[in-house]
Amino acid sequence: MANAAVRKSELRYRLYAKIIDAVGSVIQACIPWAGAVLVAYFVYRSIQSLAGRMTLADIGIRFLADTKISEAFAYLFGATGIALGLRRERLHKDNVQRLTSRIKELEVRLDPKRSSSRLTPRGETRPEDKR
Amino acid sequence: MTPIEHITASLHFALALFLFWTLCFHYWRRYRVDALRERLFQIRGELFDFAANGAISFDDPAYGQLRAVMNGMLRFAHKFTFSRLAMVLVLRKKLERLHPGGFLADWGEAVSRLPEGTQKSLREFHGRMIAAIAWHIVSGSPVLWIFFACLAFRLLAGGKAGRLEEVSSQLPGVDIVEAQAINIELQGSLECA
Repeated sequence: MANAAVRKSELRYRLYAKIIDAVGSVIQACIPWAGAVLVAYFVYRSIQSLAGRMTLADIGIRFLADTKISEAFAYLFGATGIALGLRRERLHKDNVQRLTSRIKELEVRLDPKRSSSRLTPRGETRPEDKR
Repeated sequence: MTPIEHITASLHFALALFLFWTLCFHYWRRYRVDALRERLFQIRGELFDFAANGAISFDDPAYGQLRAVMNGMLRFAHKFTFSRLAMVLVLRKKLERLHPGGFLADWGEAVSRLPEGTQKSLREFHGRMIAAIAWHIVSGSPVLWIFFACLAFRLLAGGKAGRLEEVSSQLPGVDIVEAQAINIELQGSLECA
């Protein structure tokens, strides 16, 4: 009887944990998409006033033609920064992958029952844990 | 400004917003999770060295359980967000009633059987882990910055905390977030076994 009560409360706890996880995941996914929708709305509103007067190709050409060198450099600066960040990230993960197996091997010699975080060898979340 | 100039300016603004959005919600988010994992790996490494130096046996439940907790935190680091913390706070009373103590209580009991110096060190490792997670959650949400500033002021002024690290570990709900990660980790281990 007591076991059944414990089991029931355990299941309830798991249910609440699932609810928290599901709602948290939805909110986590919704916030960026809400931002994306806002940006798309800005673009739409700025083009809407020219509907029927100019084609999208006209707008695109005028946009590129009106772009100043200083603005182009600002974009280039930002894009280079992002590319550099991505290269550094890849380098870091390559390094993690190279060193992890050695650390694991050495630690297992001292602690044969060594437990693991179960991340991928590159230190990333496993696909099944992303849900 | 002619209408076309106005549109060009708007498109530049939209493009900049889009790039900023990509940076914030994709790359920055990924970086924050990696940075948290790096800090947790560092603490877990120090815990291993602590045991390797003979301060505690690798077979001691206090060591094994703390390492398992850290593994859970590493595995689910991407799930420590403000939205989940807010949900935990909303359901806090129900969760505490359904699962009082649990795994953390077992760990506390295992630690209390150790010499005082070892106890202190293990609690310090645990405290640092909690502080890293709490700081990760707080630093990712502008809403929590204000809340954290108020909490820090209250605890520091009241003498209940001496350092920001201690304030982080007293953030409401962090203990339950930790308990949840441990439970999911334990369920995963059982399923794998």
